[in-house]
Amino acid sequence: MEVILRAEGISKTYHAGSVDVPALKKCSVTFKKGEFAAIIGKSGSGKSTLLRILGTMDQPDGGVVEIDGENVIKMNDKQLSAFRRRKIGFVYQDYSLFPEFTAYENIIMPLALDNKDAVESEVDELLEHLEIAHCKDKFPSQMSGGEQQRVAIARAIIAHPAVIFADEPTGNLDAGSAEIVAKMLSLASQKYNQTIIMVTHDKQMADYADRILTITDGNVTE
Amino acid sequence: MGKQLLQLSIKSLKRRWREITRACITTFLAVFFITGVLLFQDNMYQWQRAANKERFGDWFVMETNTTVPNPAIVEHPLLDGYTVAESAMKLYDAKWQSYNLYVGYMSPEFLEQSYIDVEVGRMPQSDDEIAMDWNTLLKMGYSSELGQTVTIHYYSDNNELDKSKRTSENYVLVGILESYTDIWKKGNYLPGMLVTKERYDAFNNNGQNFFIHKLSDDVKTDDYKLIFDNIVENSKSSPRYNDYLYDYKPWGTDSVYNYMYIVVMIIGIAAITYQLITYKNSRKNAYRIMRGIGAENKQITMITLMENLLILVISGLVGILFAAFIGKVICVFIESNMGIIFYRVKWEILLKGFLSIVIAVVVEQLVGRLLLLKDILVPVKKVAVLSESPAIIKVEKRLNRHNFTRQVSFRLTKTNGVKVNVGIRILSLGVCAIILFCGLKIQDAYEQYIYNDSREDLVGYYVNGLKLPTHIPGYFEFERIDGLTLAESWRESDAEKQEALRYSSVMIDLLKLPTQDEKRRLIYNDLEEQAYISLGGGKYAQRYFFSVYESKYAKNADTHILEGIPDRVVNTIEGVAGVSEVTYSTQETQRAWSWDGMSLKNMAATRLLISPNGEALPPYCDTYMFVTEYHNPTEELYRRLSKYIDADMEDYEAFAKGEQILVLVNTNAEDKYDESISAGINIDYHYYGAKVYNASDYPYYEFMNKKGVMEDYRELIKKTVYREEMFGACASPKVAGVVYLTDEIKADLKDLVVNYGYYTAIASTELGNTLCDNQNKLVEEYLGEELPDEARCEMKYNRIAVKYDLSASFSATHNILANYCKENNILISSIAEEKEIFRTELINSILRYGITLIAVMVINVLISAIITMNRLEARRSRVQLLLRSGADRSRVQHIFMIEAVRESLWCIFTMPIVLPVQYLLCTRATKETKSKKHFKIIMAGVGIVLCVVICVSVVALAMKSKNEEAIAETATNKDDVYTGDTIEEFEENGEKFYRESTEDLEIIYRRFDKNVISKEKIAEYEPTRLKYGGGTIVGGNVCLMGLHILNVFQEEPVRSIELTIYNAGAYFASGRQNLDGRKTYYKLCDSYTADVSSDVLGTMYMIYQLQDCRPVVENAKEASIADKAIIQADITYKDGSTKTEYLGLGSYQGMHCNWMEMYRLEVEE
Repeated sequence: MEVILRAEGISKTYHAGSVDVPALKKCSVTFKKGEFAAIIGKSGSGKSTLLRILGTMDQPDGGVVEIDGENVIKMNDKQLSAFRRRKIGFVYQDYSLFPEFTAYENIIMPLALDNKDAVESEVDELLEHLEIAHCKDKFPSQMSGGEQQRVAIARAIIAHPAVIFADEPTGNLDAGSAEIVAKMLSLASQKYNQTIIMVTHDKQMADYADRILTITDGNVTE
Repeated sequence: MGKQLLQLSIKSLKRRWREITRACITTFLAVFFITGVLLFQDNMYQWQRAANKERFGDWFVMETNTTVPNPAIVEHPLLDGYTVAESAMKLYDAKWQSYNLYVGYMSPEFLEQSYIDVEVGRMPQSDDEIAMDWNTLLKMGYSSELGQTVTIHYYSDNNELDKSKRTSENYVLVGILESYTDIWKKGNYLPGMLVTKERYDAFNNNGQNFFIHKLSDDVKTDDYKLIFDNIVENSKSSPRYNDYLYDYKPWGTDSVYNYMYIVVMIIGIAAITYQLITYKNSRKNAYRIMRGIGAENKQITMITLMENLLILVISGLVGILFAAFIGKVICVFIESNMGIIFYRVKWEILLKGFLSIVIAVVVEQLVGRLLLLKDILVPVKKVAVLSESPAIIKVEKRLNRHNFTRQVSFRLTKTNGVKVNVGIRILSLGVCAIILFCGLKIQDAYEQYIYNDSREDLVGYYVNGLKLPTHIPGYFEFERIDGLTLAESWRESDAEKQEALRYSSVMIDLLKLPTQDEKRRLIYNDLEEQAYISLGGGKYAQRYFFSVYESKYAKNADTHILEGIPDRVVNTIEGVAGVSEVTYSTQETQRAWSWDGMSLKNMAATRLLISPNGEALPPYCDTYMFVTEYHNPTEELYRRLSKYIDADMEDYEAFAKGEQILVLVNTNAEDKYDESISAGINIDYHYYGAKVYNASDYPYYEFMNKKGVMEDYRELIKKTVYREEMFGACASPKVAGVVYLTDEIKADLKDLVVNYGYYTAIASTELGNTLCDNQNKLVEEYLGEELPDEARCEMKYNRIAVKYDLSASFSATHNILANYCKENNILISSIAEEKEIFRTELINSILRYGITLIAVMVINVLISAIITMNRLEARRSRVQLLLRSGADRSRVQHIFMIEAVRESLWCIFTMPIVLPVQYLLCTRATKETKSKKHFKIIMAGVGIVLCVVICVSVVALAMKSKNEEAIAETATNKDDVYTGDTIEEFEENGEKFYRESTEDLEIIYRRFDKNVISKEKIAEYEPTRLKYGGGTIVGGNVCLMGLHILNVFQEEPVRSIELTIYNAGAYFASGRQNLDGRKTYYKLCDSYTADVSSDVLGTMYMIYQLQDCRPVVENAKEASIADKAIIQADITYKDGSTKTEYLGLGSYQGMHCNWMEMYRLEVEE
């Protein structure tokens, strides 16, 4: 499988007053297309930092990140925004849905931002696959946590990005919902040949992934 | 922005309508506030202008004395049409005394333009009906009952000399109009009594028309007088100018208005910006998500802009319209109460309201750009921050259950960072300093206002129309001739010739002023009508007086204590809006003083002679001879005066009883102080005079005559008052202190003394009462019994002191009062303008600093609210954490409030407002349902209370500013109604005129323009030689021509003068009335030559006698033509040389009669 994401020598140090906290120490990692990878680690290990850097939400102090052959570190804000729309999907721990939009509208938001028309059948199909078809016209306040997170997953998938990043996607869910979400991520990865990189501290959730990476004290190991 | 994104954005707006509405309300209120204040500013000016139009009529120029309007005025581009009123007959009372009022007709258009409304009843519809204005009604002594019969008396053809033309008619009173005859400029010339047009036409009259021309509404200028001057120049006429309306400067200075505008805009913009920022904060999360899913900055900006524009434009428009609507509602209420229309909405105001929104958006965008710029530098980090970086704090103390709340609060405060914490405190301190500064400035202005407010704004005294010289009693010595009476001896003596010198500077040396001791040694002789002083050794004193009159340096006396202000005038003054207090006292100028050591030289008597030839006489000189101000003798007054009283003379009881006076000495006509008065001496206050013949201008005579008892007491008065007035002391108060007046002292006492005399006394009202009692006793002693009530004189209040309140500044109070007093013969002095400065300064300070204060407080509250909201937002996770950890909501609130209290202590003034706002925000943030409800209820309650307060304030302001017309409920005593003389100088066709009106005659005098006459003009007239000794003298009708000739040539070594009078057939009219009711006219009908001897005195003297003619003219107005007389004086000097000079004879307000002034003329070839 082709490499869809390559990160080399990623370093990140946080400065808090007179204290320097090295979150990442020259990490290097690659991900292949269609791969469902989980990054696990204890709290404070640097996994969220790594995810944010890989997901272009943060800038590393050093290193290179290439996604789908493009060096995202050197992109400007406009290029990055366009890149995020088309090549990256993000699933947040707190779902980050627009409360005033329905599930359908939340899902098509990235397409609208890219000035593309959504194909309703495609959205319906996605909703079916994620078993949230019944939530199509519901508002987030009318959905459970698990349903909201699946809507977030659908939003992340709809533009068929190169990579989907999920930051503790099951962190706010109960065990049952977490399991469903984890399964859905796995399913999406298989069905849409979607690269999904998930950060979690829960080993059980990580087991749904094809590949587990461990991050300890800023270093990534398989 | 793509179509789909646009659709989604619109959907988002619709679904967040509650949040949008909240945002709209802030913008709506801010724009409403700005527009409202701007409308207030503009319409306050309009209101005041409209109020003045309603009072003084909506006219710019008024033409009178013309049958048709001047075409140049009618067609003037700045004037906008005219209407007409017609005045027919002059009205008289049952005794044929003139009211100085007229009956006539006013067209409906005139009434409308004049804002003259019918207050009660209606306008006359049939020929036997009449309507009157309140002033006319009260002056004529009628009540306000409609349907009563009103009897009017007039002379048909307006010829008051012909008794056969006397006509009386009855009408039914059907309507009463708002007063205008005593309000408008020269309003008493307008018809105060209105009949139908048909009835008016049936009057056979030589009435006059009044054409009032309106100024076009488009004309806007700060100097309307310029326009008037232009109209006069173009039309070559002399219309009247409505300066009461157009020269009045309404309240409010430009600087205050500009300041208000700036501050209002700042507040409004700050509020809108605050709303924009708040709204943006509430959308932060959404924007964060959008950034996360790939939205560009541009897209987010477009969405934000679209949302804000929709909110701002709609709510801004509604705010503007609502402000205009509310303004209209309020102003309709005021307009309907005042009967005026003034409300307008200028498009500039609407534009300014909208401009505030635009500026707020720009400001907010600038702030956003600055923040975004920071984002661009580190965009990823900024967007990716989903949780805060941990703050590392040096732990000073461990948390425990005792210090939990304080420590948590402290540590949270530290997370703000030093810069933020210090910045907040500096801001609070700055706000505190500004509030303190503003408060102190307002307090300072208030204290100055209070200090000056304790003094009256306006003082005035009622001029009753008499113009008397001041007689300073003196005497000439003569020897008694055996076998002759004293009077015969006097006539035989050389000293009689001295009498002729009484108008000369020679007299000043010869005339002796008696001492008090001498005055007490009067001889009364039943055979004689006057008293003599026996000087011993066969010598006697023939009483004589030095008269001060018509001097350039001295003003004729015109007030006395026997006549007061008419009740109707008092009621009107008390009813003027802005008047808070009126007090009454008395002032007199018509009483002679004398004291030991009095000297004509010290009084600069040479300057007090009648004005020299050729000098223009002012209508009124500034300085009376003797003035006494009688005040209520309060201890407060005495304390104020005591700084001028000698310490050993201080005796409040004596002052209160009228036994003591304070004397203020002005510099004399030679600019020196008369030092002959000193503390401790007594000043004799003489009796009021009462010559028994032709003495209508003596107060006591006038008093008795008005009461109708003069005939009954004539003989008695001859033997008492007439004898005593020269030397008898009616009262002799002691001088407690003497003050040499300076400008500073005059300013200090300006509210106590209206017009200073050369000698001014401040005395107690008790002295006035004593004077009246003694005047009565003088007669009663001779009578042997008490005078009946109608013949007893008592002191009346003829002086008012008025205090204004704060609303006077925008009620045009001073303008209204000053003009009303002018129209009703009250001469005023006012520190109103000085007080107005302090009053205006107080209002300006309140506005300027008050608005600053409010603005700063509002901004401080807003900033505190924004900071608090941001802080709460930033700490939301902590709040949630605390709550989930089991902390009570109240404890969480407490934690935040500790920080809030610490910060707000840096500005204690705003603490009472900031803390509750922060508390409310805090309780909202902790999402306590009840507190949310409470919050809504409280905010709604605050909003309702604010609205109610604003509405009540506006209504109260409108009610208070309403002009209330004074309505007297009872008819006044006709005897109290009196209008005196007014003099107006005006020009017609380049020639100067005086117009003088008395009760019974209007006289127009003409002066030669620039004292230049042409030989051609001289040739127009027939010359008449004046013969010496011709005719007889009746009573005191000595012609004053001699005096005037004397004054022309007094400095020259003249041996003889031969006079030729041109147009000597003309008549001089006297405005005075004889005892038998006839007018006296002087006719130059004889030629005259006189020998002049310079032996005795080194200068010349003459005696002239003119024939006294009883009225022979048909129309009294023709008498005014007399002033065309020219006198050719052929002079022979002592050295034999000769010269011919021409003297003009003009007319002015004279001594006994108002007739002549003589001056050199230049003759053009």
